[in-house]
Amino acid sequence: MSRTFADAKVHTPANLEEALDFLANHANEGWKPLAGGTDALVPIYRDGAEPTTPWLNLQKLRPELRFVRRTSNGFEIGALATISDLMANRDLCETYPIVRQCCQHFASPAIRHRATVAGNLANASPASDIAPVLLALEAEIESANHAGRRFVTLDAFWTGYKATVLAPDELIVSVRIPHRDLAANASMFRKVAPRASNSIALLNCAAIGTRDSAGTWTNVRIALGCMGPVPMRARKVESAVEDHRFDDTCREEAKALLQSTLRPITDYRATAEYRMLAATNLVSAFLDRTAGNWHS
Amino acid sequence: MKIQMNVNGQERILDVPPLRRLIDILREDMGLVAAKIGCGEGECGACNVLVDGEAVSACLIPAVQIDGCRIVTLEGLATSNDDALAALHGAFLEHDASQCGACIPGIVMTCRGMFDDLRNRRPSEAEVRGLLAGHLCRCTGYEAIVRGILKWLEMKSEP
Amino acid sequence: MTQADRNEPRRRNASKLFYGTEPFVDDLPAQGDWHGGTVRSRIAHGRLIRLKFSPEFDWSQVVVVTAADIPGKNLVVCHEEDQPSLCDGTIRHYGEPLALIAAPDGELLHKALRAVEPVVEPLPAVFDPFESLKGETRIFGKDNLFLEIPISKGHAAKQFASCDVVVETNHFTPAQEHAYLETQGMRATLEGNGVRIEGSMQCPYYLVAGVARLLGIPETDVRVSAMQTGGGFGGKEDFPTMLAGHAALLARKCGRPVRMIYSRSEDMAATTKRHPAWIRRKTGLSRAGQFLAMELDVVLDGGAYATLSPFVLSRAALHAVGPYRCDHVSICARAVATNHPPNGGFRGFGCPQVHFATETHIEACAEKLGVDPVELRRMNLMKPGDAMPFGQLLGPGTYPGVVLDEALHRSRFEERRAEIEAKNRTSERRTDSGDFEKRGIGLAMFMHGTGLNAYWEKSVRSRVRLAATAEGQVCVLTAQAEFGQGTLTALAKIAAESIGLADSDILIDHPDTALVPDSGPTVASRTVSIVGSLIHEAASRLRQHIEERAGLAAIYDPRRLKAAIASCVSGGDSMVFEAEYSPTDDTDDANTWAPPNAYPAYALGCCVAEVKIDTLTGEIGVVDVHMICDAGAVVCHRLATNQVFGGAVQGIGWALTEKLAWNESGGMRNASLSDYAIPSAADVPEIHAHFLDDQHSERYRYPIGLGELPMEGPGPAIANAVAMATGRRPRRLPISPEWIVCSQGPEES
Repeated sequence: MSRTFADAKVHTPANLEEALDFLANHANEGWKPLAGGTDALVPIYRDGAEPTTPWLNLQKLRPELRFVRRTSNGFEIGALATISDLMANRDLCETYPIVRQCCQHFASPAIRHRATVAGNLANASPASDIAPVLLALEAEIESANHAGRRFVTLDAFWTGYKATVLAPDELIVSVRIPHRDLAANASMFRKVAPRASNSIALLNCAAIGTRDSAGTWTNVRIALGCMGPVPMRARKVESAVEDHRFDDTCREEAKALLQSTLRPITDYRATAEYRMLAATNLVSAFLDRTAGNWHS
Repeated sequence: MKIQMNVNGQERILDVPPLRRLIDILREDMGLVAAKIGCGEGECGACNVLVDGEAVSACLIPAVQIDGCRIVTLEGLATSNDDALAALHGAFLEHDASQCGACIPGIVMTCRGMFDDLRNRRPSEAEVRGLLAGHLCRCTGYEAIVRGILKWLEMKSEP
Repeated sequence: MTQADRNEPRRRNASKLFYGTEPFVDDLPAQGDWHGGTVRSRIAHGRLIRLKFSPEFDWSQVVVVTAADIPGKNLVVCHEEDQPSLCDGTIRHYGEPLALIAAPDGELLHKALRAVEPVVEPLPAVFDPFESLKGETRIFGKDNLFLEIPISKGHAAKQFASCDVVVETNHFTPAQEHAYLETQGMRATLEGNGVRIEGSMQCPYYLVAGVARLLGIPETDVRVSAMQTGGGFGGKEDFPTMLAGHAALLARKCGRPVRMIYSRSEDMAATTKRHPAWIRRKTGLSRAGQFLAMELDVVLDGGAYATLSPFVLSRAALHAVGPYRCDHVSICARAVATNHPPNGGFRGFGCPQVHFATETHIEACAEKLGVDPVELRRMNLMKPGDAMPFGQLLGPGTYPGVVLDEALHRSRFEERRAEIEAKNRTSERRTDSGDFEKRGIGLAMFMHGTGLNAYWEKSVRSRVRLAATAEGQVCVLTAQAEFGQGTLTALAKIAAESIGLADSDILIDHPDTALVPDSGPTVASRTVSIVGSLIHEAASRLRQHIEERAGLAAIYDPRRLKAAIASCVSGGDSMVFEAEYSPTDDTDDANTWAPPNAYPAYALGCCVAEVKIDTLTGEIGVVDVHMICDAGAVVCHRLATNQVFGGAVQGIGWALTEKLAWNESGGMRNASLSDYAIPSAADVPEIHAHFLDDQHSERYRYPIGLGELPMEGPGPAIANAVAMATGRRPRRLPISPEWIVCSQGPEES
């Protein structure tokens, strides 16, 4: 008989309220939420790590937290909505084509059925595939503890490599994509990886914006993954191009800003130099495109 | 812990440790060995089975998360007079889609899981390749598998 | 009708494979088996002082085997007797087995393995073969050289002076992981005085010899049954000998069946890889483009133990010049010991490495001369009767030029090349167009000699047996394992056709050494060609016997034949026919590594690959691949075509994404299928395969080995396509996006 992981400790609350109460009463015991488990369990199952973390299994919260819906303020993604659920929401994918493009590169169909959007964000990996898209769409995290709920913008959600603002007694409840006033006519998602999907990104990049017929950009949002300890917005570049045409001066400025703000690392997958160059090229290519609707 | 699940149409109650993997429960505790273990990290798809109708990698699913679920393995499909499975069998044999065979049962489950979605449209070859992206095969170069699936879908769309 | 649509038998076990009911070793029922695991070294080189067993663990629940428990010789039987089954005091690579543990369940085994701490004294390790050759760190023999093979023809050194142009290039090809989908697995059971082994393997009789020697028992007390094996590619050629020995040691110690199934990460970290190769190639040409002189240095990193390195080196040396003619050649091929885990057999077996060097070097020669590389090849390709550097004449009907022409024709190479040249010019510097793509097309020739080299093929003395049943059916008995290549299907078809029976009246199963003779290892593309020819020979005897005994007319239908066989057997005739490989030619008897008539025949190939390159990120996509193969008669087109598809994709992975990273102890760092990226269906294009096989030539009457051939083309073809797209010649594989866009990728530093 193969491994039983008999020492592992798991608690399965029946609903959200029970889960939050449990966490309130066991806040210092290191309970870790278990959603899809597609990343969280790999160290134990694949690498033979000891299952010392006690797990809070959220499976029974699905009726409450597995949804993707449009609200008066935008879109709301329940904490247990899977990547497949995102792809199945035609309204969301048509409003923001980068959501579907990103999901198509996310792991594999079988993993997308289990992996949750919130779990991917809470995992706080700089290589998250969904993070740059949600950053570019200025998503917010709605979290809860037994006392109440709070909202935090996604780019303030991560505090460092594999770290978030979530307190030990807190769970993500939903991810919200606010309505954008101006319809974007350009967007891009690119993941650079050894395989088309089912691969860890060397870097990824999501961008969205509006460009008028004169070539002037407004409402540009650019986000990058693997370019620092956490996925990040390129806010300085966004400001620099706002209400500008992407001419040579602007291009040089954007390039300099990217190089002064991004902090990629060198590992055996790729060098920092490569990540910087490819990211700069992708952002420039997005802003270089001529007017007209395009989403690639 | 005690978990309740429906495996291939039969209600089962098992007493298992909460993190024991679904693939081990199926293969060792129940003797359902059609699903294979390839990578142990959800990368290769050899262990795919249907959980509540969706093809998922059983090597990443802990017992605690299948409580109350409906599991279908290839053994279950094979004994259920499933027309779609029979048609896929024919198409795969025609194209010699299996070589060593370690990846094939998982691919069969993925195909079956996608069937309802695919039956009403004709996916392109590129789309089929994308849908197979969660499966690794080292023998076939995927060509015969892709051709087999396209042939299968062609057969199914005939009246 | 396409080639694959011919009326051919389907893969024998296709239905069982589809339903997952063809058992692999780990699919066997539990049967009270204990689970075995391995304590491994975490250093590359050093002394094992002792093993510290944690007092907190209750050791009475498990059994432990160390080198001291080995009743026979502590050895993994292979060519050199240098590799211990369990560490003999000196650790020579990361992941080396130090001890074995068996436990009643996996959880306990996991805990036991964690409760052992090797106490070691590290020694300096060497991972670079050129560094190793300096001999400061002793790994093997007195100079760390497993083998050196010099091959010389004419006077190359002198000849260079009279050449118009001399081109010299350096090439590197990397290690590659087999990534068979089923990891290594073995089950050992005590049976009678000996042991029974069931498992995943290519060469059942290697295990018989290995286990007998390790346990100190006669070979007749070791019975080995190959299960359905989930891919091999050479990775289950030598390694299973070690694993079977380990399982047997544990079974003997605990008195129960023991199964050892490697996890993926253990498999990748501990088992062999393709040999990394450093190749220097120097060619002198006439102004017109004729190859006048060549000098080649081939260095293989063999890892810490010799395993199959001498054999891989031999094949690399014998194929180093490729299918080209040159009168003055000097080859120096060396396999060197380092503190990496041993490298071993892998589809192509030295050929992919040398063909990569040859086919990219030729393009550099063409560039220097200012001629079309296709024309340069055509001018220098061998014809029947031309001699190879070691003396063998290219056999009748063997025309590399015809293969090249077929490839050019089928891929529309020249037309496509002109279109791409034009498009690459216009898409330059148009950043607003959204067209950040460059394309390139490239080709490569390759060849593969069939079987083990003549010396070794002869020394194996392969035997096959056919045995008729009372029902008039015929059992085919060989030691050839089935791991996806279609062994059972192809050998049965050869028997059916040679005897004249229906395919369904041929019985064949996974080999069990209690039943089958030793027909040699399932390697070297020798199954259909060499073993198949023996089956044909035995079948002809059977048929002749029946014709004489039953007085059958020269023409009869399969049913009458079946009835005649049945009546012979019922009448007490034993009806067992054997054939043994025994070439009469003795010219090769003295030359172990470079026999003059190295291989009975050479399969040929040409690969054309088209790539697209994203100029923003350097990502490389293969968009079209044509594989033209000339492997003599094709026994089963459908199966053979699928072999070509699979080999081509393995070649694409080697060329582009399969980047093997090492840890500081020289072990595989990215030992998982998520970090080591073999291609998925979404990463490869439709592949076009075509065989030259329907000509009226003696060459196409018999099969020539095919299994390894298709792996050998895509690497250099892709490199040449990338060179066209970028204007820079890749000298190393894999070609990374980083190399494309950065002035200097990490590969070049």
